[in-house]
Amino acid sequence: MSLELNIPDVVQQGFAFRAALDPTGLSFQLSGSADARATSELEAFVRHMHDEARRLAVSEVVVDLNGCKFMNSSCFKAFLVWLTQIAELAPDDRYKLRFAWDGSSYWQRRGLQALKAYAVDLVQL
Amino acid sequence: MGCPTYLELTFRPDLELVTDVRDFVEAFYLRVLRDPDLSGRLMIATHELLENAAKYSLDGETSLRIEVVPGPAAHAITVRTRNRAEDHHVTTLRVYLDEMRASADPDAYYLQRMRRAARGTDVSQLGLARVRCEAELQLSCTVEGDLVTIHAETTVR
Repeated sequence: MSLELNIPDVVQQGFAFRAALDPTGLSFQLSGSADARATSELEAFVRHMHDEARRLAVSEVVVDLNGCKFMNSSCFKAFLVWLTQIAELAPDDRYKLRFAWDGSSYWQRRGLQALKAYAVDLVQL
Repeated sequence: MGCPTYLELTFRPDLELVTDVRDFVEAFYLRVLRDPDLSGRLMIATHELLENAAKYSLDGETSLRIEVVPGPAAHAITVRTRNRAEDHHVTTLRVYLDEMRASADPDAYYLQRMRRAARGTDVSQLGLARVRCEAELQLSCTVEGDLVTIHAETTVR
């Protein structure tokens, strides 16, 4: 099995998504504004993240929102779909999403509370 | 009640403009309210309402009004969007708002909406539930002909 990560960065005006695999694990960094311009790119990126997380059999993926200025409900939905796909895996194949976030950001605090309520066993804050 | 502070914009947006307007009104909220959490709540509401208005506007034109009315004990804050819309979108909106009002618990309703959104293949329809739950604002709408006005309101001490 190749340990190379097969997810190209997405860098566009207003937002960027970057995946990384290093000795600490698999991570996903969002920056900019995840809004209507970013929805379809985010949906595709999250699908790739899920495929790679399964291929590499990781126990968690770190999602870094520190550089993410805002996320609209359509992009938020991409995370709900991702968590649903994880929940549908066999218990031994499931992995967690651990969020790194900015405590001073109201939308991150409230949005992540909602994600935690949606998938309490799969979301770590 | 004191003299209101308000901001009103009318524009014909593409969706990209919504982000620029959100950034602009963020500065307004921080300047007028001096409360980062309250500004964060209003940012969520402004963005979600504007995106909806831009998506469903019949002629592309949307107006946004943000108003802060000081009172002796509390401020009344309203975020209002207005656009022309097709009948079936107005009907969908009314059904959505009625359903939301019938659910006494905003968190439970939001969770139910999240479950539906995660299974659905079309638009998320999460935005208004998010405004009610995460932004903690009360939502209502008025319709005159094909002109739809959505009000998101709160009172803060």
